[in-house]
Amino acid sequence: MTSSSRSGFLLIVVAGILALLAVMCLTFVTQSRSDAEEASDLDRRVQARLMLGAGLAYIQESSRLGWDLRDDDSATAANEATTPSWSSRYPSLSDPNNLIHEEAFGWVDVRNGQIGPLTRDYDGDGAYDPRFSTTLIEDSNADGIADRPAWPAVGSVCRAPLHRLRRPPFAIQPLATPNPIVQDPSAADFGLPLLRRPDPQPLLDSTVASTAQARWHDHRTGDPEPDMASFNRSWFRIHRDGPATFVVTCGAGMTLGFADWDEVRGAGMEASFGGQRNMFEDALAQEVRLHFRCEWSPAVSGAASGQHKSYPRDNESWPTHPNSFGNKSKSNTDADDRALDPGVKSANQGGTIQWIQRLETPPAVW
Amino acid sequence: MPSRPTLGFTMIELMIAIGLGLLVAIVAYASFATAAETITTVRRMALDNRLMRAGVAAALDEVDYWTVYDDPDDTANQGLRQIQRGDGFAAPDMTTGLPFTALQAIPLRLETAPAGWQLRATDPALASEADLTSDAWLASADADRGFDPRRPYQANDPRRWYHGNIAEMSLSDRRFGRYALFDNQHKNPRLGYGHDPREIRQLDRWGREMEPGAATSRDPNSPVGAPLFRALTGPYGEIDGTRVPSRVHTWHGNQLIFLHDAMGNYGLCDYVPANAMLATHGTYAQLPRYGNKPNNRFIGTHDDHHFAESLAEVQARWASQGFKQPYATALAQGTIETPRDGYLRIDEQAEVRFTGLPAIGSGFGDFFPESFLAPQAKNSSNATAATLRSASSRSIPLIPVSPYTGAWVVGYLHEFPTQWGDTGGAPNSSLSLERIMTHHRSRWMNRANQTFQLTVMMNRMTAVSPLLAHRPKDWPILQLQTQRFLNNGRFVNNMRVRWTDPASNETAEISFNGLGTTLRGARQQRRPGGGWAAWYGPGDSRNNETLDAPP
Repeated sequence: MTSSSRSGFLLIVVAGILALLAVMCLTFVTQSRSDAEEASDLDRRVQARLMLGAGLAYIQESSRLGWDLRDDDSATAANEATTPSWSSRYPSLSDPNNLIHEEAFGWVDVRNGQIGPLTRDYDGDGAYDPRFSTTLIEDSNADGIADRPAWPAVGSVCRAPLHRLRRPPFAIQPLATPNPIVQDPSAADFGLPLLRRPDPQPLLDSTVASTAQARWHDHRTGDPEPDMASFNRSWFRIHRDGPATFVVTCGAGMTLGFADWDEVRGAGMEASFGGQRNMFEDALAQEVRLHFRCEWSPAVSGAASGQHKSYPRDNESWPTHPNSFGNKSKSNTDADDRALDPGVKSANQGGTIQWIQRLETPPAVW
Repeated sequence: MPSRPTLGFTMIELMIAIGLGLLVAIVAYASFATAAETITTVRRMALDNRLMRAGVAAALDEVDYWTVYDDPDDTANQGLRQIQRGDGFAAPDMTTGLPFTALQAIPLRLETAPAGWQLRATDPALASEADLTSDAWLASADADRGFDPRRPYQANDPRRWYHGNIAEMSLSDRRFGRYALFDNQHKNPRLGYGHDPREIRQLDRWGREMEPGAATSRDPNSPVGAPLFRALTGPYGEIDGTRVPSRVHTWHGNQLIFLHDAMGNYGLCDYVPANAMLATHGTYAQLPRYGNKPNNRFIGTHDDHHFAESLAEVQARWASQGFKQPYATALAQGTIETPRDGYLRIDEQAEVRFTGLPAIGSGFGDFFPESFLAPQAKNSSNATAATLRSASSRSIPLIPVSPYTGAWVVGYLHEFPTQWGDTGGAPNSSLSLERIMTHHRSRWMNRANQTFQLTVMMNRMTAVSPLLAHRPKDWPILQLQTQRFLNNGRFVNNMRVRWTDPASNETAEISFNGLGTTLRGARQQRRPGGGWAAWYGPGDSRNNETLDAPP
């Protein structure tokens, strides 16, 4: 055997081993990619399901909050056509940034059972002022005809693409101890729990002017620009199909909650997809959508109820303290934890969701 | 000396070559072995991952579709649609349903007219403010019976209110006034002190009031017993020539009874609004000793063994407890209704509950109403034994189809299991299904061998579904374990995806609490005769009938 033939033998052996390793690596990478693709589908489903919680929370909270009024509010403008002007009663509204944080009283108003959200009778006409209009102003299919009222009227639709803000309003710094107790024995304030700085401390833009007004404005507004890492990933969309019933559609994908391209066109939002239908259709093909229906109830939750007992022992059962009201019995062995459970005590003033139903197929309107 | 030809190997070369060859062979072998092992491990991990994902996906589907509890496509898995005609031990004349029983299959158990469902089909979904302040409308709407799935909860609808004072108790001294005067289920509350003699009626054999001339039949379908509560006039005199009506409030109580009859405790809690008062006010008591007569779960008291005492016994017991309130005094003076048929009758029963016998021996009934939340995004509890133990008395499980599935939605073990039935074992001849149904109705008692009881309860409330019934024998065993229960006022859907390696017997598990379809939502997904109910929109003619449809 010549030295060249020996070299060839070794080369073949080494090349074989390397080929084997390469195949193993390729198999591993291929398997990993396959797993990742499968996992991404589940990821989208889970992501979409997270939107269910967000959508339900929105329904609950907006049953009472969020209907701020400002001069340029379209619903107000509609009201002002037939009712005394808001601004005549609230001159401060001439400043569009000056909001009145109105309180509504539920999707079905708890006071009179009428369709809400209603505020108060500010204009003195004997009826609570609605914060919705049934006028058809939205074009859902780009046929040039308005066929849908604006949110939150019955029959309207609310789209809510969700993403993180770079800095949300009223953000605070993640500081557990903004005012640590000085531990230097030589310091004059050694060991004193002094509150030198706000607690919690606001998270501000470092470039903002140092005036108190500018800093407060920055704290209040935050940075509303989206965090691009969370952009275009998920959304929820709500169709109010009855006084207190809603179809909540949850999506994980990039369609921003538009049902189809015609709706995009009707809303004049083609630019969000580069003006290209194909781009929207591609996003639609990869998207996960889940349809749910639910009913809102004004019944608040969480507060402990007064617990009757079979019979009182003198005044034992009369509530003398909020914590004792709802605590079932001093003599019961299983009641004490209730008073200590903040989850039970914390009332949710936005109402509750009476029921949830996953819809197997998309309803006719959503 | 001529040089030798260089053909062949020298010994040194050969030894080196052999050594190198061996080394290469060993390395190659090790590489192959490692590679094979790695590939096996990777495949196994990949398989585990895929199964885990499939399990989670199945769990999410289960959160939404409830097919473990009721499969619309499989009649063999619709056991929770059964109707229990009677509870042999306690309530032989009752008909009760399970969580997926069609509502229309459940008869009304009424002592007031009408005998059947009465809904206001032609009314708008929302009652107007004018309606709700109209005596005429209220009087007629109060007679609505059955469940109206169209109507949203109206907080301003007096029918849905608890009309009592929640600070009052049964047999407390009513220091806040006599709510029975205006908020009674009974049209003529017995005022205790000189109640209007015109209102004294004949009592039936259950100790309940009958209209003049009525026979003793209590069959709700019998016209004889039906006329009760129909008249609205009361003993409150006249104002400007008009008799003041004693308004009755019977809708709420009957709604609670009906929902409980139809679906059990879990279903009742799912259908009533959050923080609903599972109580009505003003029902006079007829309280047989452990009799569990038809209406005794609601229109009675949990503590009925006390009420079933004779007057002398009651007086003696109250005296021993130092009762000095006017009620006790009145009782002692005989100015309130004396017991008839062995039952003490009182007109102002401030508490009415749906549990029958929860606290025998303890002396204190400890039960509902709890603060029930509607399902929402607050399902934070995890179904660990510790969680249940911390609030064990407030857990209402949904029991899947099993020998322990009863008309009452079995759930708790009594503190005296040997006395009242459940020893934690399988039902047997000495522990009849009826007994289990009777005594394991609502919740979990927090006494006596708690850990054991909780374990038993956890087992019974866990629905185990094999997800890979047919699989290669070396594949992991994949299971979905589902637990649905109400804990501390919150609905919990606990999903566990568990996979076990058949070779190593190692088990891994993912557990999460899912937010999705509620029981009512699941019932609305289903058709009464089987199959899925389509829904296209409110009032759409293509919509299918659901389990909640009225007859």
